[in-house]
Amino acid sequence: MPSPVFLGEFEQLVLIAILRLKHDRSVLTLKRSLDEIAGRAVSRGALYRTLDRLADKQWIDWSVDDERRPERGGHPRRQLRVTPAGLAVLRASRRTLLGLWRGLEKELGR
Amino acid sequence: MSRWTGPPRLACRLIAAILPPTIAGRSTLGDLIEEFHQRPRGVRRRLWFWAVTIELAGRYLPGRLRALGGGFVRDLVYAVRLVRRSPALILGALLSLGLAIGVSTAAFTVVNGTWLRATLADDPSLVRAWRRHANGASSAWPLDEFSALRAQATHVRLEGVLPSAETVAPTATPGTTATVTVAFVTGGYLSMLDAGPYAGRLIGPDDDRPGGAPVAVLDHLYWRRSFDGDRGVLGRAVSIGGRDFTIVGIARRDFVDPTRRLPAMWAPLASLERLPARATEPRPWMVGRLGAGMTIADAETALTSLFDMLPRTASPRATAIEVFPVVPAAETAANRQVLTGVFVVITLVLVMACANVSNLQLAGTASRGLEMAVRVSCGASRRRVLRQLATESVLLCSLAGALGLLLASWLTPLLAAGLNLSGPDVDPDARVYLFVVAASGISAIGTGLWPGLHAARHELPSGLKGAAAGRGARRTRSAFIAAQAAASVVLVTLAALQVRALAHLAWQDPGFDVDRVLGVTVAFPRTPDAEARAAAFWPAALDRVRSLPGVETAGLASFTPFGINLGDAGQVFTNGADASYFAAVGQRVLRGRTFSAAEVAAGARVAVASEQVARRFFGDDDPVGAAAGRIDRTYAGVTIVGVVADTIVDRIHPVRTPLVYVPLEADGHTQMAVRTNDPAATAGVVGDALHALAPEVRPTVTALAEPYARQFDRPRRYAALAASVALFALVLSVAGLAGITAFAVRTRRREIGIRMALGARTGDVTGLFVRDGLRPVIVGLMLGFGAALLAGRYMAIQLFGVSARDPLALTLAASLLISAALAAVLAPTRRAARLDPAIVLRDG
Repeated sequence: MPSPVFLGEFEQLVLIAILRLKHDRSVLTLKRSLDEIAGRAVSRGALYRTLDRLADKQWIDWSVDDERRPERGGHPRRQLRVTPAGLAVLRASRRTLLGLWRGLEKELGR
Repeated sequence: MSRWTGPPRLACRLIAAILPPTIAGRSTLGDLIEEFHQRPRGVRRRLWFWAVTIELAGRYLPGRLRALGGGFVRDLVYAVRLVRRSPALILGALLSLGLAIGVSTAAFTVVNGTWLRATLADDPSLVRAWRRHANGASSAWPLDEFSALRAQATHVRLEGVLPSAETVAPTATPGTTATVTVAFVTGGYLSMLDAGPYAGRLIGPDDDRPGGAPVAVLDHLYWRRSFDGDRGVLGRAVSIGGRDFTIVGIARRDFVDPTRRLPAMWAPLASLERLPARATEPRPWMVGRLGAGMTIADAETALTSLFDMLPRTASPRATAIEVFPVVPAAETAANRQVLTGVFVVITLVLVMACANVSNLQLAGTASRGLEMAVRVSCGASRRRVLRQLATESVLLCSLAGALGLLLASWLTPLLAAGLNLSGPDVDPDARVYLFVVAASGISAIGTGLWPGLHAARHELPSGLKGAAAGRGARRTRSAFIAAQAAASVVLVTLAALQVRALAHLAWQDPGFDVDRVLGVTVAFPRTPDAEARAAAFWPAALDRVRSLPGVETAGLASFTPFGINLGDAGQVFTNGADASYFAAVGQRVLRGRTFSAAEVAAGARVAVASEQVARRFFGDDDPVGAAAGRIDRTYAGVTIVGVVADTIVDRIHPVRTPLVYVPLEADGHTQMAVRTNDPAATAGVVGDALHALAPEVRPTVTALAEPYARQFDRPRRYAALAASVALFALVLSVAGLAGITAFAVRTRRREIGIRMALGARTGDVTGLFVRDGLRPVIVGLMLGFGAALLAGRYMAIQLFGVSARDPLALTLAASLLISAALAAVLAPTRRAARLDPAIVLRDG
């Protein structure tokens, strides 16, 4: 049995939000999307630390725009991507959660 | 784009330092900058950026610190916990030190951007060549003379520069025009002055040819402010006076143009032909570099003899060439004095803050005696205890340094604006950051040393018994208070002297009727017969102006007061004057007489000396009737016929410019002085009359009271600045004194209780503490006065004639400090004296 993988709630939110982004997968667009999903302004510090953590676990990676943008002070822009390992973790987490929810329809309905 | 359109630079640098130096870190900074630009302009988005910076610092800093190492981090964590335990003590220390570092850094940044950069750029082999002619001397050279001399000079490398106000716009963004100084220069000018480049290239001889490509080199500061420091500007076009110039380079940051007109860019002199025709012929200034081992006198002789050999040119012949250092000796001396003065003030402010914090720390270690004793008895080495204290000091001073840097980033623009410095480069550079690090480091040593040594000497048993600090500690505290009092008395005295100097300045005799004289300058159209037309214009203009209602009289001179910028006040200058000039400006004749109309018409070999010339060259002799050759060989054969009062020439200066007046030969640069009862009303009338007389000329009429009033701006700002620093120092030292007295009273509560129980009255106890508290203040006061007298001597140039031993200023400073000290000591002492001895003795 593979060792259990812990996926925090916010990490899960971030991974799902990245998957939902279609064209522009930059951090700024991700933050806007997360703000909508969470219904509140997500803290930038928390977001960037989470991205660092997800990258350390190799669940996300990114490509960098070659274009040199003056409005970014010449700094690169990342386009995020969920790695196959990240997808596998998400899949497992979804399975676990759905399993947990199963059979609770009556309680939830109450 | 101004510096306020981009995100705060300091915050960007902090983020860059905090985040890991990876692509992720850099792109995070990029995200924040991009989001900054998407937000509506204004202060709120700057505040937002700072808030995000602090949030990121909170997230990333602990991890970065952990990576630094074990023991240090443990000490640091403990130090942070201490902050939580006694926040008031630490915050007081932090605020005191942070404010001091902030004020010092702001002062240093401004000084660095102006005087320090100018002093470092000062090169004694750089000179300016003036042409002396019949009516005096001028820095502007007719093009034909300039070209001929430059081509022939071999001993001195000569280059030309013509600073000119031009309308400039980056061609890519039309509509954003500004009027800035563009210096039109010869091909070798920038390389001779070692102007870099920082990027791209400089203007070369190939650019300065008729038909050469129109190119421009940007000033580093202008590039940062107007192009946001974008290196992509190279190769782009910039419009100067409506014509496109290609930007080919950026000058190095520390380059100071010797014209001191702060040019925004440099363009080839030859490219002037592309711009619309000027009202007057362009006359460049001549800047040169002396060959190895050559003195200024050698250069003057060589250039004058070379000039005599040149074929005659169209313009009226110059008689000699005068060579001056690019930076006048008086300015270099004044710069050094300002620098010394500011560094003394910075040192004093830092010393005061360190003394303050040391005292607080001493109080802290005294109350932490038990903790130290327990640590030592549990096996901690003295070294370990010292390291802990050192870490606390370093943490405190680093935080104070960061706070100071933040404060300085707000204070510096205010300070520069307050001093009305025309466009200095006050963005922090490496020197400023080095200063902050040094100031914080010195503070760390200054604040940590005494408490550390004290703790190391601390006797174990007394610590365990919780005994209060002994006599030694009290003596150290007194020494710190004395040092603080001395430093603040110096600052308060210097401020009082500045205020007195301002008052003194207002009473100084300007030497002419400031409120009744109009100065008139005239620009003639650039035509081949311009000089002849100017010569014909002036007599007619005088007649016309004299006949106007409200005009008492009018006279002509090469320059009227405030009509010229001489630069070096110590040099003897020649001024041409006609028969009625002295009466027109209201200049007193002290001996002899002034010129007659016949003498002026004939160009007689006579001269009128100013009081300064008479005193300097003739001493007790009567100069009237004497030969003027004694002043300078250029006046050989000229007889002095009178002495007139000194006047202000271009600015208020303790030494009035020595002037020799000679009969005027009117030309295109002549100026007119008009005496009237109502300058405001007459100014317009005079301008209209001259324009009606010759529609092609452009007269400028100024009531001389205006430039005179502007002379007070700088001294007023110096006084205001000195007063604010002194106030800050006073608050700092009073706060320190109050804190220490409160501490002393707390540690001596038992003693107070016993005294009261034995029958001492409230007055006795108050008297005891006031005596104890004020003793070090008085000692400091004495020391401070001695130091202030010494420092006052160094700033004599800014005192405009007020003695550094001015009794009024010294009394004012002493009474201010003593009353402040008394207030600081009385409050805690009175509280202590009201204590109930029974309660005190019971509580221990």
